[in-house]
Amino acid sequence: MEKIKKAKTKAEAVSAAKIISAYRDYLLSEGKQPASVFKFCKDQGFKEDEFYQYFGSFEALEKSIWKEYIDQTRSGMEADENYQSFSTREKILTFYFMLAETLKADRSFVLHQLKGWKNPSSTPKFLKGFKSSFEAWINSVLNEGKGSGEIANRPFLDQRYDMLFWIHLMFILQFWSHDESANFEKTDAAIEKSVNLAFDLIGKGVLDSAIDFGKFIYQNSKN
Amino acid sequence: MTKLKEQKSIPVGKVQRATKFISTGAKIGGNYLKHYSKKLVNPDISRDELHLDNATDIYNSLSELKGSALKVAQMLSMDKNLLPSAYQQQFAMAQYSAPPLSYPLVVRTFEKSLKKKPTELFDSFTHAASNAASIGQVHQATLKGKKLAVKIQYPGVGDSVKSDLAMVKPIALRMFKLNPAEYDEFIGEVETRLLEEADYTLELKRSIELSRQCSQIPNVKFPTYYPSLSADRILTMDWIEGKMLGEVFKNNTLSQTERNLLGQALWDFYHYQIHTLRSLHADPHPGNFIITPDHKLGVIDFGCVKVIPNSFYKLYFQLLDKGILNDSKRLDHVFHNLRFIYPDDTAQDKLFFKDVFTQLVELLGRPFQTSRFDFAEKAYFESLYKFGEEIGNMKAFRESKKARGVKDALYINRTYYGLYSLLHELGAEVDTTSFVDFKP
Repeated sequence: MEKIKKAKTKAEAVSAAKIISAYRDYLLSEGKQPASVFKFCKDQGFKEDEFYQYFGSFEALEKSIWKEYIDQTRSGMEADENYQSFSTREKILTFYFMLAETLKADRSFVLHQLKGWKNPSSTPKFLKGFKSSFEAWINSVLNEGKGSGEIANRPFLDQRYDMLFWIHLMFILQFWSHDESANFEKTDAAIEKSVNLAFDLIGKGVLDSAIDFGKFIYQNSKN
Repeated sequence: MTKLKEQKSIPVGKVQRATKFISTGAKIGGNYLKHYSKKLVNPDISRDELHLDNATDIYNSLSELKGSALKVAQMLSMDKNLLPSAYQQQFAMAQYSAPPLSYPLVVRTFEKSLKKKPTELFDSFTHAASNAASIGQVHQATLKGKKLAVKIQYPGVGDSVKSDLAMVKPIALRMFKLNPAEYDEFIGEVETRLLEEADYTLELKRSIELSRQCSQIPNVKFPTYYPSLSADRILTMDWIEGKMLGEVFKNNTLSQTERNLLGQALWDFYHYQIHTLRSLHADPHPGNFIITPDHKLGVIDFGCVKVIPNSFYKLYFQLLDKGILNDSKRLDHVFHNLRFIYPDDTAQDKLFFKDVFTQLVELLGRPFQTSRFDFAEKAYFESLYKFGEEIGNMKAFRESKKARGVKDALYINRTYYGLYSLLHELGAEVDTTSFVDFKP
């Protein structure tokens, strides 16, 4: 009862941030979603329509938390004056390092969400906005890379790089969620090494020669 | 600090190293097959040939290895197969080849430990590394008009050292037929040193201490260190202008007098540490020294420091006493205590090892027997070399079931091999008595 009273006094200033923080608290203390939006709002002293003003459902709320991770990382990174002078590889590295830093502040929530994600081949609902924000960003960076020649043009294949980087990001997320090293130092190493590998693969190199040779053999075998 | 290109020439990944072990395993398996198939034909065949085959394969593969795994192998074999390997292979941590850190990771390292970006801490900071250090890299920075060298370490080096050492254990146990207790004693020593090298906070403390204590030695120069700009994986010091000692070897433009002066500075630097400070920079690698334009010796890396225990010091340096080689009783005592000879050795073994180690002590101690010694002398180094090779081929040595030597000697020996070889390459003639006014 007392909880309701306390919340009521602040009721005028209900904002998206406030709802999110109340939801996060609930989820992490109770270990599960509230029974309903009605119950949640009643307990927290919001009006139900105040909740719907920002979010259509708990899922939509979770989605917005995740999307915010990307947007926050991106804006933080782009605010750095040196960022524009970085190479594509460095931009992507910076992005992952900063994302790891952003997620660190919210690790309990992230781990709780990832725990429920059992099937790695499908993207869970809460990651949908996170994914589209990420893809928008990675595509713009990859295009820059293609322009500067850092990334090789490969017909058809290079259209799917955003997907590959998404899988890569999921790998990093999984690695980080299982990382127990001090200050998540191993995640830093994993990011550094895997991005270097990725760039060795998408830059002009062995793969292009292999494709070229493969094409040649294929064409000649038909004659 | 080693030049980037030097490091590039040693392409060692952990996977490659692991594969090396696997292929050795396969070869040993092959040797057993060979053995048993021969045995089918000739049941009397002894296992000697098999052991020899195995030993050769393991040894060959270990000598191809680099990094901490090799270091262990080398150190364990130091008393068995003395100089050739110690000469041919440069020292371990310098060969520890980590790929260069990307600039974002450098920034990340700064943000994690100093809470600021390098561009916020310094007036300028180079985007690319200017040198590779043994387990990290060096960037050049400026602050208030001063040129600085900032060393940054790769994440996870400590773990990597541990996994390397774990990898070498089974094979080293077989190869040297050590019992696990002996093995742990030696490995413990190596692991401690390697892990210390990965701890820049400790290196900072030691660098400041040792460079202050050594500041009186003529012709030696140390950078100033900046604790407020350093952390567990960052070390900031003055940038010393000049050429790496390794480069000086390659295009030798120094006059003989200059070479002698530098050689003397090296000699004095080491012997002051050994005899006065009893704690020394145990990594005499050409990448750790810079020759300044005015021909002074700049010392830039105190990663590997060995503290010499008193009891060991008293024992070990008796071997440099002029009369000791003719005093059989005293020599026996020292050899026993340094575990060159074990009480339970057969009489024949005792004689054999005493003879070998006496020759060795005479050979290694020769520079101390005259007041000046010319390290440029090829004949001396050839005889050292030849002797090491002979030892390596001695069956008794190879098959001895005991580790000969004590753990404290590992790094002292390493330091002397390094120092001798630096002086040899420098072609310096040195006054070897300048610090001999000590009495063990």
